[in-house]
Amino acid sequence: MRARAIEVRYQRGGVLAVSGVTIDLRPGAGLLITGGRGAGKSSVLRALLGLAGPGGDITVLGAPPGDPAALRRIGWAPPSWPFGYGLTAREVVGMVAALKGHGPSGAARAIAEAGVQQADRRVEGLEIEDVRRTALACALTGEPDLLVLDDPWEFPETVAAIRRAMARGAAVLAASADPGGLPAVLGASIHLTDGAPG
Amino acid sequence: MIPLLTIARVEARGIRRRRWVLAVAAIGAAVIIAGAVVAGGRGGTAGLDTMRSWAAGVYLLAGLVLAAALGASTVNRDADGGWVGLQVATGTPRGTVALGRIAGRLTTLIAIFAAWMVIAAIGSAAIGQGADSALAVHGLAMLGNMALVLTAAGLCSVALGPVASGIVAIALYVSSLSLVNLMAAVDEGVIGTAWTGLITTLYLILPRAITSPMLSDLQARGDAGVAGAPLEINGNLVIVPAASWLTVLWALAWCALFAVVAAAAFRRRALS
Repeated sequence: MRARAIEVRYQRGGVLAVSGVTIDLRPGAGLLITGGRGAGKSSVLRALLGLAGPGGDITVLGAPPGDPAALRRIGWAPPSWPFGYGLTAREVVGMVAALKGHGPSGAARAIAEAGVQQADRRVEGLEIEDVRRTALACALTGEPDLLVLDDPWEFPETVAAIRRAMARGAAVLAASADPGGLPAVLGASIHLTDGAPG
Repeated sequence: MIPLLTIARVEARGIRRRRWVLAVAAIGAAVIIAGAVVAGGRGGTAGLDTMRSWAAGVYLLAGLVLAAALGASTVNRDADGGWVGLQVATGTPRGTVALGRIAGRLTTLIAIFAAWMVIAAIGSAAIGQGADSALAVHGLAMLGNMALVLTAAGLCSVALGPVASGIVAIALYVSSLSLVNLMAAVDEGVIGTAWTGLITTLYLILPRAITSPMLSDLQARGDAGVAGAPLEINGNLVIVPAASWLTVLWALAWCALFAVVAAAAFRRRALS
């Protein structure tokens, strides 16, 4: 993944949420983006996924951001809570697996790897720990070539999943305001302040 | 096609478990049953009119609440909350995600209307009026109108918040009904000729509400209850005719247009 001078602007003519961020991530490598609340960490991840209209020279898995074929090879763990209101954790992960062309067994494996405790409970009734594990399970579905984790909690399963992914040659990109021991696991990090490196 | 169906199925499943949806469906069913009980006490033509007007009231009021609220939640809140972003991040094209989300809501609306119509048919049969095909046709007509509301609200939800989207969609339904009423007034010659051209042009271009033969009859006799008060324009009672098949197709074409435009507009929306 190569991204030069990433820019994110949420409204046409509005202020830049992110500017001048450069990321170079090779297979099997990891990178952690740190920074305080509102520093632009999530915006960078959304830009790379094509969720927020990005600017800059960006190539993700050989394609521009938001390319459907490339996205199917990316595992995305969203930060928000709750998502999938009315559905169980298993149904949420099952949807991700189905949309990526994997069967229920792929979802079950991801749920087990993420350590989701109450997979058959609706997400709005889950403990926050299980919500974060459900997000991790969504990312792990189908053994992606690039893991993108927004605000991952430092569970043993998170660390194990990151190490496993990097060992099989997948790149891992994470963003966290409170990274704990993740910098050591991912190996490299950049810090954002007000949407820019520094 | 399969991703669209997957998203539609998942959305419909989540929506059908929401308490407010279940509550609106249950209240509608309870009112139709109550209408059947009252109708049974009256008997004859009066009983039939009662059954029909109560059911028609549910199709209009509960249907409007359901359609507007379902459509208004198609994109906005879930887009800000990360759910829509998760669906898009699977590599499913944005247009497919938008259409799947609308389809899931439409399926729920159809399922609830089907349940109400079955209960109404059982109620009609219980009071000795058979399954009442006229009421069933009215139910289908209102389902078409509510599909228009839902898809319009879905389109609005790409750019507006839930409340604004619901209000705009309801306003659209009111205007589509007004257009049909005004056209009926034009046809009966009770509106000044200065307005005829404008009303006819708008009638030909804009979405039109679907009116059923049953409601047309009840409204003309003043027995439609909340579903349709007698229409008076310039002091003249106006009979609003039942919609033609062309109007039905026109309304459905507008539903499709709203859904397609929503899918196109969704491609440019930033997601969390």
